[in-house]
Amino acid sequence: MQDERVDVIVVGAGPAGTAAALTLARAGLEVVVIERGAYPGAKNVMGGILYRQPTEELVPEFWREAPLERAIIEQRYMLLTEDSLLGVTYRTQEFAKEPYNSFSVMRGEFDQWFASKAEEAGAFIITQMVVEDLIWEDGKIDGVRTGEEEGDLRADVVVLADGANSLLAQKAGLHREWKPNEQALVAKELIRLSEEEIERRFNVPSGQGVAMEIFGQSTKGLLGYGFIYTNKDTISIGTGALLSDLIETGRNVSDMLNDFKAHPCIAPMLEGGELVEYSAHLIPEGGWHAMPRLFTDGALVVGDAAGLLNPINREGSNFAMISGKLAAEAIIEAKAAGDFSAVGLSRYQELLEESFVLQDLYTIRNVTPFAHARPWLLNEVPEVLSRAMREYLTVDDDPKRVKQGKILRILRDGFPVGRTLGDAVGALRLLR
Amino acid sequence: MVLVKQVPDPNAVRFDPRAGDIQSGTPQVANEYDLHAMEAAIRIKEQQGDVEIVAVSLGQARETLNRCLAMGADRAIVVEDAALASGDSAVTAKALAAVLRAEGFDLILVGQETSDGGTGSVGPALAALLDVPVVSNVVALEQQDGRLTVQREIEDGRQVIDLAPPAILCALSGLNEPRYPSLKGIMAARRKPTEAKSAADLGLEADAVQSRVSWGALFVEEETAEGIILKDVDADSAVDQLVAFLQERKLV
Repeated sequence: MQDERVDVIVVGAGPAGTAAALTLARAGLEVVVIERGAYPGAKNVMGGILYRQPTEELVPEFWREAPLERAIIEQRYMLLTEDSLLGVTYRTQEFAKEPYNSFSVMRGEFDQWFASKAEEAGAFIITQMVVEDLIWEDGKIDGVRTGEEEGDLRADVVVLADGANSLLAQKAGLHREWKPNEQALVAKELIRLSEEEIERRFNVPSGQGVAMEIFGQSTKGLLGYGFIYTNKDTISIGTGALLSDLIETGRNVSDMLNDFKAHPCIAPMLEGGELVEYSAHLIPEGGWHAMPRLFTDGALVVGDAAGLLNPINREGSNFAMISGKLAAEAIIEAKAAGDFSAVGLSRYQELLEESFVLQDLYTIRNVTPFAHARPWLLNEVPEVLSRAMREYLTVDDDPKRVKQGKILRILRDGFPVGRTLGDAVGALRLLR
Repeated sequence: MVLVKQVPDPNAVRFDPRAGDIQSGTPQVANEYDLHAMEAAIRIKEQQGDVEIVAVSLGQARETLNRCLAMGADRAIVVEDAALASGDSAVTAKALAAVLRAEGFDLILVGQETSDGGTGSVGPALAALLDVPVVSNVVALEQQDGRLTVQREIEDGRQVIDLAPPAILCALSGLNEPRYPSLKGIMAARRKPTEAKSAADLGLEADAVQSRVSWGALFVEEETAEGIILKDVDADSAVDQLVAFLQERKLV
């Protein structure tokens, strides 16, 4: 009995896999996507922000029809201490009008819609099926094994889009398991409130929303951040930290999230809301230093499976989509040349290097180690700045000159000269 | 001929009190009994060989028909027509009867009832319209030399019926265990035809497909359980009260 054969198999119908399938199908290749969830997006977790521009590279003007929650018009960055919140807010009407800048989304809904676009283009999506292994033929990956009877499917190229902790990238010999200090564990809850209530609490009109990143006590001072995003009639709230730090401090993310939700500066935003969903997910944050090899004979790895994401700028799904798209372009070229070996597929690496994906990963390659080596940045620094701000805002019988002296003293004690100079130099190096 | 229907997933249905209906966006799945009917058809084909299985559905059912094709149906027919979409079970039966008459059939297999409407009347109504015998509540089926031996579930036992096709059989879940489509079956399903038909294609007049039954309202019965709520008491006395409460009702 001959196994069925197609041009390309994509494993996983997240944004990376679907972007690859969509691009391949549009180019007329026969592509099959195998997804283990009941529907595309069923297994996917994301904080919730999708950027417009990279998404438009795959579906122009998607925002006219895709299931989106709210257009994000306001960004807040906050430092949270035990009892205070200090932050920067940026809001612009520029983000409130077409074509918008970013959106809060529900991955389950968005991924289904995105997958339907790939289907319209001619990709074939099979759900509720697990790929257990790769098939090798003459030293080249030549298909996948689903572990059931008559469950082998052959293809010229297999795109590994099986998400964080990609077992297939390991089986393909491209990768090892991520180490605990190369992944973050994030817990997230969805809290339901009415649309009107969300608009009132966050001071936004209908259809528009707010995104917040909160540093400091949101993670008990561990490297990471808490986030709050407004959806249509729910709020996404989550927090997380590097797995290695969680293990070391014996903290668990669900307690961390509960404390974050209960913080007096945060709780009023959620008050009276109903918990509708709890999820947790690993995020491969090893970045540039931990990146697997991205291609081999007959296979490419994309998205989270390749660790292609930027935690600093909250960018995961756009890296996924663009890497999927570039993988597809490399496959299309490989097909034209009739060469699906590693050499033929190496164009993928080139395309990634020319795009923002690998350039950005290179740019931020040392940010996590830098911040990790300076625990005071998320512990003492928010505390000091908050004390200085409180002093400044408190009216008492201190003459202003005395007050200025007090504020300067707080800052001087909080930012020891030697350490601060070291931080500044280090930060400048990062930006170079 | 196997008749199937796509229904809201019974495990995911939530009532939306604001809309007075089930929540929109509820995932759609194949009606469970229909899959047992489909499985029965495949087993007959496996035994007999020279059989064509046609899966027929009305309304939104592409995914369900694809599943039937992947399981082993040879082709599919879907009646997609806005005029029929909200029809009652009699309208459904008329539309399906028109398809079956046009296609011709030896045996019609259908689920005993659907999990959404649950009237269980489409099978019998088809039997009347097509003038063929019907056996409901089928839990076992054997065939030999062109005759069928059917067991149907009745109060306190089973009734064994011997008949010759053409006939309509309405399946219960005891009949078999529907197979899960194999990867090969799913891949093969892509090359099998699904034909779409409208009411006009079937020669159905507008007044022939007028519903006589319409939905009034959907509501969830209030369920109240008698209980006690312990608040602001220390743990020890709370436990004592809880245990007393359970003992009183002979629950522990």
